[in-house]
Amino acid sequence: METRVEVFLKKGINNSEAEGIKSDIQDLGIKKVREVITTQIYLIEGEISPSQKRLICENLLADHLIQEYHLNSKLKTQNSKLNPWIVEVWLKKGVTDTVAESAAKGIRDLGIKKVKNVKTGKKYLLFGSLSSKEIEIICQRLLVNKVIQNYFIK
Amino acid sequence: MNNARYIKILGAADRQLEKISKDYLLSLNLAEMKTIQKYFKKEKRNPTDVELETIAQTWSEHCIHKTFKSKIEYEENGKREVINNLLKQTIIKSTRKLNKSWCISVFEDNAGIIKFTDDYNLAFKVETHNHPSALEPYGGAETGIGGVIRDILGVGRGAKPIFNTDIFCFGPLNLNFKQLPAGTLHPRRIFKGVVSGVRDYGNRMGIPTINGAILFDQGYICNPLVFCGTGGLIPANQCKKTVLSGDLIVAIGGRTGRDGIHGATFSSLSLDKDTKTSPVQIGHPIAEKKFTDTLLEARDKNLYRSLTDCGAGGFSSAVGELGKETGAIVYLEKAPLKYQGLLPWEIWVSEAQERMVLVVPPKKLKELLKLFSREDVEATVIGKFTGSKKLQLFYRKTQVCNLKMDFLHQGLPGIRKKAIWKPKKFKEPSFSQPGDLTKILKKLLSSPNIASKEVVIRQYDHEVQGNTILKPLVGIRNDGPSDASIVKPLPHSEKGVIIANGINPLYGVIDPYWMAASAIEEALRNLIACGGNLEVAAFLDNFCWGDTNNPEELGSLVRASKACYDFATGFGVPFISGKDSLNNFFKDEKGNSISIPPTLLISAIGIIKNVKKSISMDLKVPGNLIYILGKTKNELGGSHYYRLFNIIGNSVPKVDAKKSKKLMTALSKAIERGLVKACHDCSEGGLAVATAEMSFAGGLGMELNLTKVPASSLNRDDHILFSESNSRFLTEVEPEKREDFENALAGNCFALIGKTTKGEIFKIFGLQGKTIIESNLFSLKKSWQEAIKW
Repeated sequence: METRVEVFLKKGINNSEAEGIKSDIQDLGIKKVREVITTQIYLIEGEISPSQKRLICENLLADHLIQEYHLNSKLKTQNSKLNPWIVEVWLKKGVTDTVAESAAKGIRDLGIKKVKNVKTGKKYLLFGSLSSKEIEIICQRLLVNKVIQNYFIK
Repeated sequence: MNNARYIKILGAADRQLEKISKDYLLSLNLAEMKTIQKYFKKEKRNPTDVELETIAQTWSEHCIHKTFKSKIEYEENGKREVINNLLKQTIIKSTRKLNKSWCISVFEDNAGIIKFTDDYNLAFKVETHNHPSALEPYGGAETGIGGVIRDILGVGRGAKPIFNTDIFCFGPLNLNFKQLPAGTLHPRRIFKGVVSGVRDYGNRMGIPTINGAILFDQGYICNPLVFCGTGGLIPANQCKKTVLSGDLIVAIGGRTGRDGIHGATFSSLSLDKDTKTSPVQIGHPIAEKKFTDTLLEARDKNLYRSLTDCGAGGFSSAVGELGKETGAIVYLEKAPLKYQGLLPWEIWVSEAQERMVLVVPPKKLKELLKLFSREDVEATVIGKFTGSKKLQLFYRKTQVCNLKMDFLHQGLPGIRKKAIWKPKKFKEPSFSQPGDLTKILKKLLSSPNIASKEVVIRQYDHEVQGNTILKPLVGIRNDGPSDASIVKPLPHSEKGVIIANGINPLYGVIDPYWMAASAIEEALRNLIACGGNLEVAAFLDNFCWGDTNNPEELGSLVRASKACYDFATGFGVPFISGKDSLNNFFKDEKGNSISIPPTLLISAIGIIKNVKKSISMDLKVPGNLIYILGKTKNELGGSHYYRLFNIIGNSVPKVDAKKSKKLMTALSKAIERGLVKACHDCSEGGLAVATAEMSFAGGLGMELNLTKVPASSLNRDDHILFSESNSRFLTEVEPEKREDFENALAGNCFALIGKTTKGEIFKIFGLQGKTIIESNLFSLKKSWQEAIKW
């Protein structure tokens, strides 16, 4: 059984990573990007109860002061009309995922022993009228290193 | 047999041998494959894949530096000579000749060691991690710094890391994507990734990054260079390694996975657009920090006899190195794995990070394991050192490797290489002096190699551990460029460690000999300018070259090495360790080979007796005198000024070691006596850039007169302003100390050229007595600060 957790910053908290990506996209000559949102994805493999899931999210993966999380659901946008491009980036099989290793250890340290494996990925929401060709350029030149990562665009 | 295969090499023809080497990514040439074939013919059997991999790792350029040790037929100006071992005949030879009593361990351990106090020594090492950083900048840089930290942890019986230094060479940040060869990442991306990797790893390990440099050139687009260095403090009685037969082999730290397989052999190959994934490693600083602390406790409790890090080649090189004299037996299935399914050879050569190997006497094992388990660091016995002088590996009770240590470490066939050096001739410039020299100065200040690297430096923690005395950014607003940095590692001693570097690949395009001489001099000037001396100073060399199978590129390497000998001997400053990376070229889609410019990094470490005597480069008080020390010559070849006009020229800066040594000795005594308020080395961009930097770092104006500058065969303002002649310093001296200062410098070339002023005007009068540069110093500073953006 797989649990998918998405962690993202609360509204109003400055996301310097996303700001950096936005300005990097503009440096690529793609000026129409209006906003970037980033979220951290965790895929947790193993039999865990709903209360354990909440424990993991609230005590380990999300910092409740500045972050929110979603369990097993896709991140909803504030306004469905905005309709962002969504890019997910995952490490290829066999590439060491140190964040996942630490997360798995953290979960076990919480006393939840049935966790088999954790994987981490990154999700980018790109707002603005961007063509699919531009999205592809942003992925290849900025968000993804194909040597170690896979990606897909929605 | 369990998952290990025999590879049929007995009776294989040359072409088949070459194919085997290529198919298994062994990077072994035909002569080496034939030597292996001969060995196994005597053994009357074929090698296993584990054995072939072990030999390939041990004999890789990365691990054994075979180019530097090969027999080279060298030709220069029609004169021929045979060099039997370049390293021994140049760099190591100068160290042996100088024979300094304070050199504790040179060219034998993971790092060089020099004496610091009666109780403590210093270890220093700089490594390169170029190929991995080209493919995955963040992970590559992280593992580069992680690796060199483990070199320091693994020197002698373990040193405590006290500082990092990081030097990078990238392609131009504003490169047009159309000019980017297929399969290469954009320089801007590599720049950001590498800096982030070094930042995250160094900061999380709690080691201050106190020194560095970043250079940009077209030649580094396909092959960026990433030099990572670490210095450590080690008790004087912990500097020798011993291994006894019967000792246990204990693996500590991270688990073994498939990551980083073939790193050692891979870095001995050129890159091309289809280079594969498997060599990529990812760093885990938290894991390394945990075992660093545990390790130092175990060292002080004397729980192990010796140790080394698992770098390139993984267990293969670590166990092979430690067991060279004794022999070793390893049970591969005992190694803790990240996941199942690894083949025996993969376990053996994996370069998974954050692992080290300890040599543990059996009676200390229990206590050692207890300590490591208390600190939550995995420690596992994987074998023991024997007296067999053989490397024996087992996987689930089946022997998968049985090699004689002698063959492994001495069996490499000597190679012969041809090298030739032909002087190059470039076009001499013919432009006349530009009208607006203030504008030129601003252009130089904002050229990427000179411009402020504050956006990078500020991301590094240079204060952690609380010992940083002279910081990388100095001055009234803490944003001027320091020549070197100083740490004071012992609470009860005023002694400090000074770290500096010298690098200028632009000169190497003209002549690698003078590039090496200039890099050596620049590193020393930086030490001296902050309060160091020539009495206790030492170098590390890091050669990064293109394709050394090309006789001309090898010729330039020989020439640079010869300069290292000449100038180390000339200055009386020994090399204590070094590293080379000799396959920095890229094959593009059309099969064209693109090499990096020959690049030599000289890192210098010095000791200052009392850190209170150290000085910084920023101007201190209005009304003080400004002196220039050393002669300004017509040496604009390879200068940043010529570069503005896309000209290289030929008149590369030279070094007169005798004169320079005399000047440095006098200056360092004057600084120690407190006669100098500020001192800055004069290098990239020449006199104008150096004085402007002093001025805006101190927030004080300056008035200089070029007619006073001691110069030879120079009659143009621009040439005097921007010549990059070596052996020059700028100093600020209080008027009342004028006589003492001039007496201290007597017998050297120096002159009073101006004064510091109240207010914000930086002003230079030219040879005709007219104002040739005049600017508000904050406007100069703005040009310098705003050129490199994150």
